[in-house]
Amino acid sequence: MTSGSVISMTAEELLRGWQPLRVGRRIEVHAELPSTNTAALVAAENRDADGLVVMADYQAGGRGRLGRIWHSPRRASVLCSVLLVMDDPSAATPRGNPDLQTTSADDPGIGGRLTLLAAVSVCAAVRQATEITPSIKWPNDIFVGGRKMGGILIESRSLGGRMRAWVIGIGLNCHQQAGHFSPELRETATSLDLAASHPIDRTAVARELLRALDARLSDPASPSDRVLHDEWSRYALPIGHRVRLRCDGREYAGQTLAVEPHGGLIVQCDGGIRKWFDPQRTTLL
Amino acid sequence: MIDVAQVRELIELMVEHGLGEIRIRQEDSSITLRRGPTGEVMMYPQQMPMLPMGGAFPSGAVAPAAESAAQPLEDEGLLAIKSPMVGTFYAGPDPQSPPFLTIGAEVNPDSPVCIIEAMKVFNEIKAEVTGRVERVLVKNEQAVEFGQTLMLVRPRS
Repeated sequence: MTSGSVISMTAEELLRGWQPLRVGRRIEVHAELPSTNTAALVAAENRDADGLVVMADYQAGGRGRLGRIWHSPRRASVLCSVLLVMDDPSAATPRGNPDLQTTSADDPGIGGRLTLLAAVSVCAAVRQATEITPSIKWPNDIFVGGRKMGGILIESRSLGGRMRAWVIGIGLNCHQQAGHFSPELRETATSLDLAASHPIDRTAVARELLRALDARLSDPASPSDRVLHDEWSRYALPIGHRVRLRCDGREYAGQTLAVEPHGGLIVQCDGGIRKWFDPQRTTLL
Repeated sequence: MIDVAQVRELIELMVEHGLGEIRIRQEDSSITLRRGPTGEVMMYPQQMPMLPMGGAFPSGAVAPAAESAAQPLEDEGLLAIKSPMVGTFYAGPDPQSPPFLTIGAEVNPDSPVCIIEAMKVFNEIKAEVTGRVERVLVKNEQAVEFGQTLMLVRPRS
């Protein structure tokens, strides 16, 4: 159903009722930006910007994974980027970054952890702010009722020395109606308004999102990887859903038989074979 | 019941010991893991007929052979820009943009070289060397290994 709550949100409203420890210590809300992720990466030149939140009512050049454009009417989505500035282990071992070498299922590295953490935070926030419990499609697409409701794009860049910037970009469809989606997306995309039986408060969704991210990012040791893994698994789509994947330059389609957040997927591919997809080499299409 | 962690462990054992095939039987289920000519591992349930080695396996997989191919050129005084991680190589910031670098481009340590993506995390990789790009050894969207040479740079004299 539709909602009349399509006004711009303010930093004060986003911080109402809670005190951020890290995420949200500084919040910028823009009427329009080319990209909240790009703005957050630019802000990373200031090393004190860790925890900065950049939000926009509209992204002129908003992009998803692989450069796909994220279409959204003004004030219809939660468009949010969180900047984290952290120690870069690669500085100690040039040409061999032990953190970025996320090949171990037991040690997914910062990037792998952020992927799960962002998806779990979105689900927890939407569940808190609405009647809806979203699901995660590996590794971090957000689904409601079998359709994509949100996306997450994480980017990282060296800042020189031992520092590295990580930006978690999140886009959540809130007030879109069916006609807002292009014809090719109409059967596969949704919004909270379309899925809910009550009005959606976009500001409340954004506020809960920042709270959920802050709760999981303010202490590097908490949640533990095990707790995060279990939380992700609870929100994961049940096995048996269809996927299209690209791995080592080839495209595959099929039905999931098993999914592990850092272990990858086992898929019953169309055509008969079952194949394990290495998470490091696999991109969901 | 198929367990991803078990399969992953088995695949690592196959690679570590150079095994071509493993068959596992557990209670009422059985699977076969077989390595193709490119090193890719395929999994078959017991009731599925075994596919012959060779052409039945995907041929698009990329073997991490660029490292050895690059070595002689490195011996010629070229500097290698290597991948710091396993993932997918993207030559430009997005599909609409030109590549960060092409042959002949001048680079300095802060020049962005590529994006490498793993688990939907897009990592910008910097050159960390100074000079002129002589060779680009990987293609856009190609899977790359940890330590694989991506480009070769002639150092500035």
